[in-house]
Amino acid sequence: MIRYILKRVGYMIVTFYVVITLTFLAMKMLPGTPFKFANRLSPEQLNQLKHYYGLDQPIPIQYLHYLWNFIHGNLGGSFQYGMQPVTEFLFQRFPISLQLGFESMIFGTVLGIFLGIVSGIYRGRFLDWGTVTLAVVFISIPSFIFAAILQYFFSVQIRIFPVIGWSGPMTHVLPVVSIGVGVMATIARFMRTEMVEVLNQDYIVTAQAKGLSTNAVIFRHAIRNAMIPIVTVIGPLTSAVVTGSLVIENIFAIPGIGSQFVDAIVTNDYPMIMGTTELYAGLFIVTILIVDVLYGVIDPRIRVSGGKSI
Amino acid sequence: MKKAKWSLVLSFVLALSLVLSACGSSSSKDSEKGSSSELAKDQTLTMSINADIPTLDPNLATDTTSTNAIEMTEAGLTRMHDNKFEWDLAKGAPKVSADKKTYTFTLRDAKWSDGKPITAQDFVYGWQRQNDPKAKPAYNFLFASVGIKNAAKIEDSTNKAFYGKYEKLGVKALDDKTLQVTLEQAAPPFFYSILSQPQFMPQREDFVKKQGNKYATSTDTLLYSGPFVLSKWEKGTGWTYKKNKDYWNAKSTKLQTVNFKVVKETGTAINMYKTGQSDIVQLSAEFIDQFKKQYPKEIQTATNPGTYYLYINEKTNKYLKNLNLRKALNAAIDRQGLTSAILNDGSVPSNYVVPKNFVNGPDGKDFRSKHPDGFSAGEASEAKTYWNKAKKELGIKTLKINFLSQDTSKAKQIDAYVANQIKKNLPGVTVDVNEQPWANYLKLNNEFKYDIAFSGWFPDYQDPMTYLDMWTTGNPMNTIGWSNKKFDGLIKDAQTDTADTTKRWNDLVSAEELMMSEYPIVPLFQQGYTWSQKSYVKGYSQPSYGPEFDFAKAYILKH
Repeated sequence: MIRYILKRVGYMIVTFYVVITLTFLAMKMLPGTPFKFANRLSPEQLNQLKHYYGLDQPIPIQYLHYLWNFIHGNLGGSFQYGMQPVTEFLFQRFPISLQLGFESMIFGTVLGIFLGIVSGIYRGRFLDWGTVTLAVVFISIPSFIFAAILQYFFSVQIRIFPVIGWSGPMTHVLPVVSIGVGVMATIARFMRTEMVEVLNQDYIVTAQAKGLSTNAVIFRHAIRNAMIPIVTVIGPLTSAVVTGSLVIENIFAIPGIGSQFVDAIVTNDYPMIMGTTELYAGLFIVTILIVDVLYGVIDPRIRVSGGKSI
Repeated sequence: MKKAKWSLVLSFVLALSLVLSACGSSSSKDSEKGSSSELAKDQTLTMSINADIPTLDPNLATDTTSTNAIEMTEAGLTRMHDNKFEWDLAKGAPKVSADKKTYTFTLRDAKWSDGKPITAQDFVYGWQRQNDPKAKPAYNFLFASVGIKNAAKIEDSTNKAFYGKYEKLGVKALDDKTLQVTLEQAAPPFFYSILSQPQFMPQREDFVKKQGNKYATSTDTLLYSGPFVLSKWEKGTGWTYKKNKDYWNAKSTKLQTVNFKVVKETGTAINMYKTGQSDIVQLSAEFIDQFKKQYPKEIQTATNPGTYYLYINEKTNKYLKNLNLRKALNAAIDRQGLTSAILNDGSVPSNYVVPKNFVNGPDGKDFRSKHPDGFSAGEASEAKTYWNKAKKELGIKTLKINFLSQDTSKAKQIDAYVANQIKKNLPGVTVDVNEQPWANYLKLNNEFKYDIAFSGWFPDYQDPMTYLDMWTTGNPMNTIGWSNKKFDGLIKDAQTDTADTTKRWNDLVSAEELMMSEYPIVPLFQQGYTWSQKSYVKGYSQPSYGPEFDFAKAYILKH
């Protein structure tokens, strides 16, 4: 097991290195300069600025320089913010996106599992039909449309929730619901399919034949088995939710990392683009690792190391 | 790719919020009140804004948000209010030497926010730091524009004897309260107004050095000298100003608290305004008609000094050297249609180079007063006449025009309109629109790889010169290839002969007349602002020069 994990971590570092390199190269191919008034500066002034930001050196040197600093935990200074350290911004703003993502995941997963179970049990009945329809609707409506509608009704018309902010429980409700319903719909559909499948398995029939009550069959046998595949979707879904909350952050003016990322790209703020990409990539890679390890725990056949390490 | 997707999403949200906000008008009642003239107990103003403050270091600030924050929290020798300068830290007009080259200012008794007095040495340090290449000044060229002694040489990296030697700058502290400024020549008329800009504000050496790299990056790594102090500054969320009780003129500051909330979605900002969570909101064109109906008493417009026009490439396109062809292009575009149907944001049609409501001359009249409507080449019907003449003179029947522009959504709308007007009114002319990202656009522009190009200009200081000197022969900003010796002469005179302000003014008026008689550009429009402010907010303005959002003297009525 340890060897398996070590091997995966090795892959992880390689993947991460590739991500850094590709992002660095792609960024250098972006048209333009980070200097807003480039056209109004004299060549000397422009050279001065380039020198200051280390952009006057050849790209391979800049690249090695970046890697060296990266290893030492220095991601550079943000061009848009007068060279304040990028890490400071990431530490300040990423936790907010993470919190928004996790809250939405919890909201969506709990409700989704519940709806999925109910609809699996009452397959073909009104409840099932309702849940499936709702799921299709919520998967099809983009979260930002849903967010704008929620904001209009609950903040402008009824005025229960504040329009913007991220400062108290009330400010969390609308953004979390906006993102959470999509998660809910995905999980509910997944859970329903699994439930239907599990309920048709022989062991369920056996359990029923043994004379167990319906409740016991469902809770002790069906749900537990149907849950296993859900665990595996939650990982990637979390990454997707955390990185995809950008538009929702903008609509509710939540100071997360999303809008920072877009601003960085628009203004050619290279260190900020790199830092944010690395963070996102890191999140994905770690999530995939966790899921793979969990897979290994659940199902020993998946382990790559040849089976001797248990 | 990312950007394109993003704008798609944005336009969806925008369209949706339009539809939604058109549904209800429940909150318009709230705004009918507020007609009393009694001050409210709670003097708090809240605004939404779509950008963060990147930095408050007056050396590094280049964007409007930072500049505005510096102008509200710091003081210079002068302060702009309603487009006119007032004496701020200077006690009054300086003593001027007989040759009009030396100006001696007496400072008021004023304090920094840590209680220490603001001295003439602080001005000297601030100005020198703005000319120290190591402190990365972004706008040090202003010192040369105004003619501060040796500034041009200190900025010139080829000048070995002077480059970077900021101690040679023409500024000196005679004592704690007396500041002497020396210029290369008599001060130009915009001298006093430019002194209100962040670049000319005092900075305190011991504090700046102590903070090092952290200087002006948070509320406690800053010293304040202006009407407000920053009490909170959270990147991504917003910032809060509190009244500065130590400001020398604190009695004229009525607001106790001013909140700025960073909101990037216009629809969200508008929802905040409608529910009373903000008092002032900037409107984009899509929302203006709706607000005019719903909040007719709250909507405000003002022109700003942004001017937009088409470059005409006379350097590499031999056809465009023809005056009649340039006149035809100028006459072909219905500017009224552009500003009312496409822009609809308070922008006004323009046929001029120097904007209106921007600067007054020695006679106290607007620069535009002699030619209020500018220099129209005629109606669309006349465009055909010019085009026919041009065809004959050039011996051509058709013409293909490469129209360079930017790939922003606003530019695209303008491009489509302009291209259509040219095609419609000049039969036989075809227009290829080439929309590029900003950096590519600049590159193609500088390399003259275009026939006409959409462009615009904002002023660096309050003087017609900032709109005119760029068109002289050999100026790096002259990317149209137009050249006129007489025009160059007039500009040179105005630059060097600053003592006779009336002659200088007339030279600039003549220069614009002369330039527009040859139609080297196609002026399109002067930009406008449209915003909505609750009727209980008074004394707030968005002037064309000075603080972008001027709330220094604003107050809230009981409501």
